[in-house]
Amino acid sequence: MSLPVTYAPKAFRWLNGIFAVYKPADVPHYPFVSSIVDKLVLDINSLEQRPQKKRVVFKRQSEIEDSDHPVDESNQSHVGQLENTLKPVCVPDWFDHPLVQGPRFRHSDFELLCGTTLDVKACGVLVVGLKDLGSDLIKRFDRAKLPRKYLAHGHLGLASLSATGETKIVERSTWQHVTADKIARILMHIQGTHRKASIRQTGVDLSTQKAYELALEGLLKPQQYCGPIILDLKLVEFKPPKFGIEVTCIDEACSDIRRLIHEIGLILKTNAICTYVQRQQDGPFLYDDPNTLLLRQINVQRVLESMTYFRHVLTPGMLKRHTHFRNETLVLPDPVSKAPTQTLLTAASDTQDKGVTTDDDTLLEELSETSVGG
Amino acid sequence: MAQRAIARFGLSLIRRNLKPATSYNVCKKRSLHNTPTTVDNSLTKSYSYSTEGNNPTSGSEESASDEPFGNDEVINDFMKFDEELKEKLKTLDSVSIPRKSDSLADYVNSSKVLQTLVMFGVELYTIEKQFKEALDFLVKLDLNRDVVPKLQFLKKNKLTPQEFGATVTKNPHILDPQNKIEDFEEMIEYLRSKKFTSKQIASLLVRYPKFLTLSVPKIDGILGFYQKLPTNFANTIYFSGNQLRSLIIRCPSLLTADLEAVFLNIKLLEQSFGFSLPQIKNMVTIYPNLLLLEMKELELRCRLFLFEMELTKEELSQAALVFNNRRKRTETRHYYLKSLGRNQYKPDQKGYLSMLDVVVGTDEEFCEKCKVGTIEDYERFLKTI
Repeated sequence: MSLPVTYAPKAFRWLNGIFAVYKPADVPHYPFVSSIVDKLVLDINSLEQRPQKKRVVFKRQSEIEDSDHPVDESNQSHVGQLENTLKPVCVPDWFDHPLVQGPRFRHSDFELLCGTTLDVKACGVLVVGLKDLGSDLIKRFDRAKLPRKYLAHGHLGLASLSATGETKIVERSTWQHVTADKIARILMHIQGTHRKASIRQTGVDLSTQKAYELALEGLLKPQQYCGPIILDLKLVEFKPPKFGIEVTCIDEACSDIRRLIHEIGLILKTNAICTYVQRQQDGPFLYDDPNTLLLRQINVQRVLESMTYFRHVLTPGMLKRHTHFRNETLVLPDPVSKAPTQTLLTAASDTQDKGVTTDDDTLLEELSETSVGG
Repeated sequence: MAQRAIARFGLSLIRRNLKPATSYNVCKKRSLHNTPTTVDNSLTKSYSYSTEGNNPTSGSEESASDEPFGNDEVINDFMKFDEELKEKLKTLDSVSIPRKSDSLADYVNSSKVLQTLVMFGVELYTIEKQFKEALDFLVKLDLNRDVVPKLQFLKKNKLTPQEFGATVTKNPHILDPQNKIEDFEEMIEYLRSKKFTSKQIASLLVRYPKFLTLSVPKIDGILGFYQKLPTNFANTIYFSGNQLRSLIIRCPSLLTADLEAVFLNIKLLEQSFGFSLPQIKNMVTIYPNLLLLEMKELELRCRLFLFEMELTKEELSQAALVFNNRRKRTETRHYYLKSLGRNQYKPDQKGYLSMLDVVVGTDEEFCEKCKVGTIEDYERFLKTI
């Protein structure tokens, strides 16, 4: 525990960097972010502020009071000084009085830039950057595209307009035939197709030594946006009709996770809606960490501590611009469009040979045309 | 000695201008650039060293050029010129004041009235935000004519000098020269006639000084509205004199609230949720700020208590203070108790937790009173929700 900062301008200068915040569900993004800034502003205005400014005024010898400081103490010549000569004197400036100006720090003094945003219904880690250094780090963090981990709960047997429990339920189906084994197999299939597709989307010649070395380090990722890429899928709990999965992915938004659960339901020949999405990890920022702050824990001291902690967690190479593809000739496949009619499976398997189609794929294509989420 | 030096300097200036006015020797008119707005235009004319006009010795050029310190008239005229300037300098401030501005901060350095207000503790920045119409007269106030009698009047009504600042920030229209002391006294007499005690009036003055600038017939109508509160279906709720007085004292912003919004809140309670009239009266007497909530917010809070927490209407009407806390906080606390299986709000059952323990107070107090664990356990739960 470091010593607490008591001087407000010093704290303001140090409040510059990247840290993580836990966003609860059912709270819209922008009000949440502005309430973080409001809390910081309240706290920083309660610390010791800078002294009131002074201004120079010319006064006659008789009018000078004890509280006024003379400006030039060294060159005081006493020759030829009358009562009426004007002297320069330092006087407190009423313009800068705290009751006239108001609190020294305002909402607009702080810029808070966020990484990828969370939905209204989603909860979890939100990486946030304050002021210049923070916005710079956030931009680099976004570009680095570190993998994210989500926990999502699904409910079998229902299909709604937005794959959540909020909107109108459109279909009901039986789910008693579903077992944990079946779900696990499907998750493995999806994970495999996504990993292969991501490797193919990089465009590197896969028969080289360099490609092998990059694949070892996990840097074989596409350089452009190719849709969400799922690196890891795991079934965490299964209490029918409810199930929970852990998704590790890149370039994904919360709506993609809800679509994933909807499609898992379709593959299992039932329906599923998503009841809970939590972002548990965003690169090196974990939700368990005592340094990811809840809204009620935000004050100047704790934010400074979490910033120093995460500065060590973000190792220097993590946010660096990778140059290993610079001199390579990349043979990129056709770019994948962001059209929502494509399902996650078909997006990933676009690069496969079109001749080989399994029964599952044709079923999926039919379902994707009629699915209401698309 | 020094006066002679000044005179010598001045004479040398005049001597320069007393040379014959040939075409190449005419001095241009010089006036002060960026004159402050409080300076009279007469001064600027006297500053211009032109060959015409103010030159006193235009006739007797030869005598002045022969004798440098001679002419007493010249010296006296110059000294008089200097005295006028000295007198103006006493009243003039060294700061130039803008003709138009959005804030009082531009005028504080040159206005004694604003400086005294700041010394009392008046927050000028809140007045700029909330009462933009008041900026007009605040700058033009006169200490002895406007401010002092009103502060004496407030002191007569048992207001200490430490409280002047807060009252003026809440209602700067008190200092408006258009609102006279007779109007304030009329308002206080009206309240006394309605049997408000002088203690109650003093507390109103401190907490809600806006009532001084309200009009008496309007307040009469509003008090009449609250005494016979209309609800839906042409029913009314009657408050006795004492009950109404305590209502107004505890929540004086009812006086300036939108009456239609108040009516809609009561209509919501009666029609949407089905509270009975005595229950509504009970709720309003316990927590009158309920009527000032937004309709949507009131509806969501009622839903939380009636449907999520499964309280009955009777219980909710008796624990109406529960509406005071923010909805998100009560919701998370309820879910926490539910996850531990301790959400028991019925008084007969075992493990009963009273609503006031659950809802009122900070999170640390909630954890202590309900014996639910430490604050760290609660925060660990908050990170899953």
